[in-house]
Amino acid sequence: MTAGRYDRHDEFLRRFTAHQTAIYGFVRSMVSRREDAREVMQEVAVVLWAKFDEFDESKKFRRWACGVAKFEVLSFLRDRARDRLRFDESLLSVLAEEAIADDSGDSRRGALDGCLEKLAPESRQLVLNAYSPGVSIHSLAIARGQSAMSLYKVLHRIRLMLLECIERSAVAKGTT
Amino acid sequence: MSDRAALLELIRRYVDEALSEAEFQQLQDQLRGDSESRRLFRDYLELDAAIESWSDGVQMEAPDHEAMIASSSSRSSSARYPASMKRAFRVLSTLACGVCLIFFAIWVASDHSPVWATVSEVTQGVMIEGNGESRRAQPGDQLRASESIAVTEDASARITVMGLGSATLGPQTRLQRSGNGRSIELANGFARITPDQQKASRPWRIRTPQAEATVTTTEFNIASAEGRTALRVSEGSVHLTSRRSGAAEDVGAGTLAVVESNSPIVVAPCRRGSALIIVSPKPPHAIWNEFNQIISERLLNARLWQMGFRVDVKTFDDVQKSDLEDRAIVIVSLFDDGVGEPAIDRIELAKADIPVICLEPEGFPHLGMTLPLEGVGFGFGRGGSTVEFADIGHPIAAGQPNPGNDLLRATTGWGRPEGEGTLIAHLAGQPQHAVLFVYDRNQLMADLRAPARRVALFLDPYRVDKPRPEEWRLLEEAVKWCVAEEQP
Repeated sequence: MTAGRYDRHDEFLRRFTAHQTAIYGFVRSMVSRREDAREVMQEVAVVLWAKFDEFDESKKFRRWACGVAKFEVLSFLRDRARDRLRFDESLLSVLAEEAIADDSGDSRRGALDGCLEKLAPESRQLVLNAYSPGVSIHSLAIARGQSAMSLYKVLHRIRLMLLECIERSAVAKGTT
Repeated sequence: MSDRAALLELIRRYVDEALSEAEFQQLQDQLRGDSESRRLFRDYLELDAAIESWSDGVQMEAPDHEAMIASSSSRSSSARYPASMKRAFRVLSTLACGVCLIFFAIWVASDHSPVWATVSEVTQGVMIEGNGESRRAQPGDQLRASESIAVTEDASARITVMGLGSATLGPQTRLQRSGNGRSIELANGFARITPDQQKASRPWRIRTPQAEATVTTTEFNIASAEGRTALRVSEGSVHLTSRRSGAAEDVGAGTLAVVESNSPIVVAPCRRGSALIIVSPKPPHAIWNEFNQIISERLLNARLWQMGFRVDVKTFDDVQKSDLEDRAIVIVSLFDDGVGEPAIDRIELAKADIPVICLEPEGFPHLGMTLPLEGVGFGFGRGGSTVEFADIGHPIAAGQPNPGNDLLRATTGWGRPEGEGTLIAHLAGQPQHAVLFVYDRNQLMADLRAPARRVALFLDPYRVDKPRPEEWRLLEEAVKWCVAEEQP
């Protein structure tokens, strides 16, 4: 890579890492299986870098990236046309357009770290364990001596607490 | 349950991949009709993604400008502190900035390109290379787009390729991601690809210098070395294209396809499964230890792997009957009297419906290939001998010089084929002392019919450390002949 290309790469990485959670969330909302979403996200990262020269610096990176990701998601889902747990294309379009237009997520994501800090240590550890790559809820439940269903419920309650905390933080900062 | 709680429960089940089809339809209907539901769905999914990123430890947030502004405004209140404390603050701030700059420089210098594979298992001698650097691979290491994995001569590795599945890498292999998303490049060596049925629903391309294989959920072995690509398909079908000529073939299960630079694609039947080599553990003759080592290493590294076989090596002490499962071929190496016979009998190799190449004359009668009397069914002599080919038209003898090959310089082991066996080569002037003979499936041997192809081949242990191309070609052609039989 030439020096200019290195600079461009650094610029891409700076923007991409700042928004990758938002882009992944966007993908995740349209692709029902977590593994599939990770796979699509990998494709998206490659395509974004390939198309980065087309990015208009005056525009918001997240919106542009989600616009590119939308086509990758739709392409992936078309290949999985026989997947029964797949939203129809009209709903996917609405979900995508609304997510692309919604900039409120930026401040909400900024609030997540603070909200995670407020969790009780054991809850934070549970979340960390449950979301670790390669860990299944069933094996974690067995290790904790509880049923998988009850563990799913506990995690759901923690997510709801975090959602509420994020909402409160957003309201406090004057953005909803 | 309130509408919101009911919706949240549906979203929760979506996230946890626990929705039934009916529930999925219910969720879809609700999202279609109500923007607030979509907002809640979006927030929940984005939260889930954010937790996942946080947990992965890969989340690298951009600098929090609000926090920076708050921090700088709070600094103005330091007017309340004495001058000495202000100086201390300035020194500490400078130090902190320096540390931040160092971390920032390290971060900028790091490779943040997308991860394409994760290392699952490695032996010693596996390296990750890229960006002008090289490091020893460890389980859990991630391979980024700019990095390749290199396996050296006696090593092996298993990696998980994201979106494809697992790849077992043989010796002298180099694998890297290709330019676009769903493509990897085998620059050299061997890879056994086992796609994850759930993930690899879209085609992947595996490129070698000679060929390109397009696959989805097919399980196969691919090897590239010495200007040749070999592809063995276990199940499904692989679309194989020659990069030089553009010729293409759909290679089905139970088939071996070979692409060489300037030749058409050659497709031949090939048994499924891997290769097993049974060797002596601690032979009394040091030369046999060396023989086994050379046989297994040379076969493993230079021959069988290159022909697209995964190879396992077991000693006569350790081998079990279950080791015969899913084998394309078994090779019985040299052993001393009393070392190998019990193992051959214990695992019932004589009756196994698997092609066998036996290199040890003592083993011939235990496989039913000769009579059991030494000096009659099999035997040994001292002193060198040339070899004469009695059947130069047999595929195993292809390309051999005849007469006058001094394959045997020090020891001369031989056997005498019985029944419907085919004599291919014998000691010069001694047609009753065969050094290469074969039985095809169902042909009568000494006291039973061959359950699959059988090859008796004597290789001189004093010669194998100085192999010549024609000697190793014998072994390679014997393997090819064995695995080319069509399984009933």
